[in-house]
Amino acid sequence: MAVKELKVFDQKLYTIVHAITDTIIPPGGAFDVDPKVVDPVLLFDNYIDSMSRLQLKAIRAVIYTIEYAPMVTRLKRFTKMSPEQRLKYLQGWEDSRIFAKRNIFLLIKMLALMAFYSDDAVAEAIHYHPECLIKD
Amino acid sequence: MLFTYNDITKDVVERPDVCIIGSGAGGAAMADVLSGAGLDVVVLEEGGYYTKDRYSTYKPAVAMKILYRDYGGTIAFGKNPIMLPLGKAVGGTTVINSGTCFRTPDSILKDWAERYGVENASSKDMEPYFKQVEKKINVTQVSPQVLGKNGLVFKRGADALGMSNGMLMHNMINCHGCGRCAFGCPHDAKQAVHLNFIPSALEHGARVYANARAENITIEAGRVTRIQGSIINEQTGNKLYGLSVFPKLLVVSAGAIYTPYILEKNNINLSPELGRNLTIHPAVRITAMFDEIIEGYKGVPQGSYVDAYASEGIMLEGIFVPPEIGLPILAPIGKKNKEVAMAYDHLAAFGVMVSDKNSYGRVKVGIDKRPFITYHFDSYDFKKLVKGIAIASEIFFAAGAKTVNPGIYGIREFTSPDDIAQLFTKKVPMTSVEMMAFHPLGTARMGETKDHSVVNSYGKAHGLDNLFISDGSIFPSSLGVNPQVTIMSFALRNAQYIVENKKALFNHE
Ligand SMILES: Cc1cc2nc3c(=O)[nH]c(=O)nc-3n(C[C@H](O)[C@H](O)[C@H](O)COP(=O)(O)OP(=O)(O)OC[C@H]3O[C@@H](n4cnc5c(N)ncnc54)[C@H](O)[C@@H]3O)c2cc1C
Repeated sequence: MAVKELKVFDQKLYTIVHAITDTIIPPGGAFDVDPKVVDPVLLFDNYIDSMSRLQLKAIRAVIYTIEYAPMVTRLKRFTKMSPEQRLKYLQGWEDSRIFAKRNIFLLIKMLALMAFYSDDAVAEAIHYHPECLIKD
Repeated sequence: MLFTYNDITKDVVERPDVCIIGSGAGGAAMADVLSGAGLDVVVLEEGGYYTKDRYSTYKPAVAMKILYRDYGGTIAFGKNPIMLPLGKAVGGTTVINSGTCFRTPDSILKDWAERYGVENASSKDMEPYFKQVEKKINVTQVSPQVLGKNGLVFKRGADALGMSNGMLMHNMINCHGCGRCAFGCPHDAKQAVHLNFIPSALEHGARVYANARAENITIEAGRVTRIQGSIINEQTGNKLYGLSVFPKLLVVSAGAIYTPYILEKNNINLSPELGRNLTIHPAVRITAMFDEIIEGYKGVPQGSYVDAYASEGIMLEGIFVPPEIGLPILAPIGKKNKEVAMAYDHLAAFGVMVSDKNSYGRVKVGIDKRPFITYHFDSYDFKKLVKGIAIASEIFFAAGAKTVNPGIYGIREFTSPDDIAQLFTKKVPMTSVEMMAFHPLGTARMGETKDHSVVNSYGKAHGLDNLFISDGSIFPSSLGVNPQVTIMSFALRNAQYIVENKKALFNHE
């Protein structure tokens, strides 16, 4: 990944966000896209480029919280976990009984997935072909 | 003339008869009538100017970034944060709305007269304005050719249960059923106000400034004398030039969130009610998985309705979004997300909206100097919402759904109609429901006294002769239906009042 293509994240954030997006939309499964063609982190980064400084600050803060919060209970950063541990950990955010925690995670999940599913190669992979009912 | 930031090379100074802040449903209709009556009108719009040439090339997620305020992420805080998306463009929220059209219900107009003293706004009084608006924005019924299967299956379910339903009215010319109303209609078939009221105001000589944000309002000797603001670079958001407008009369049409915000920010405290009494028409989306192919993203996303429970304040209307907008919310993370993505063609979705009877919200200037919105969702209204979810789930099963996702944390899916009973036997906490809202109203409500209202029955601010408000904020209560026709119709009526009284309103000396 060329860091110079990034507009918002630096290398460190890239690594954390890569681990997050890889957990939200793991390789394999019902469909796959070539990681050389589709980089979910780059899509995410480019999507949020026109957010206000305050909003970007908040997003960075959430990403760092996801990375460092497990140090408290598991003595391990998010990026140092195995894929199974990461999934379980993020599911903990997604299904948390604390609605604020759920909603904070939803923000990251939404932005990452909105950017990902907007990509042409992904649309093709999921056979999504939007069309008007009446053609010109 | 319409100017965007590209056309402007120096500070702008204007001395019109009327300055209108905001070019959405309320502002655009005002601009047309006032300029048509020979008044010199300037409209300031913070958003850019877009038509199909631009937004037909945007993917939905990109449209949310460009045509919506804050990426569509405006939030009303309360027990449960509620997403409250707003448009920001010439044409305001009408550019990204679903196009559904309803007249103001008779019962609501009667209530406003009785409880708030709103004068001369009975159904009979409003009839000519409704007609004018419906003609101008071309209100027609959704045709079966463009309804799409999402609307059809829900109708099928409602018919099977004998529930009153039908096809909605919408403001379209030659709709192709592209499923993209909320992201800028790719054919400009949806008659948002930048395609009718704004062009005719321009024909009458109005000057519309896009990328022009109003910031400071000066009051001297009890009258508005000046509006200052900025011309903004659309790409960077940076200020390019200054803007000063010295109008004889100001109309604030920045919408039910930004109108009270800009007034409060300028310490124009028209009434203790300013910023209060916010209603939002809370909504949830219920989805269902079918064996048959639905392709819900083809056809009018909001094409049909079920009004069997409208008298209880529960309205069901179509709502379908493309995968990039739907999947982030509908499907959990991990492999399951990809599975739901592959099955998206089999998904149907419908919305439940409830009138805010006892619920209310408030708009204030936050510590970050941006609008801070709070909303108290009352348990009585929440019960109606849960009932609405049950009704929609029942309809989906009657239509042949395999599973129904009620959009409630802790209840991922119903697999049979029997599961619906959980909604009433288990406690459904308010925080477990993923809510959104699209119809903010009420933050500068009409009425005849300053203690209980912000503007009089014609939108004139109490205590200031040359300040009017014309947008969703003037309505004293939730309509129970989609508000754009109401906002435009009151704008026409109140504009006529300004024209008829212009001598008194303009010439204060
Ligand atoms: C996704 C969605 C779907 C909807 N669907 C429907 C529907 O089907 N039918 C229906 O009836 N209603 C629908 N609505 C609601 C409807 O579109 C709005 O209620 C209506 O457009 C509000 O009109 P308004 O004049 O109050 O404000 P708006 O139309 O929001 O216009 C306000 C304008 O003021 C501008 N502004 C704000 N502050 C400033 C400033 N300081 N300087 C300059 N400009 C400023 C804003 O950028 C905006 O363009 C929908 C809304 C949404 C979000």
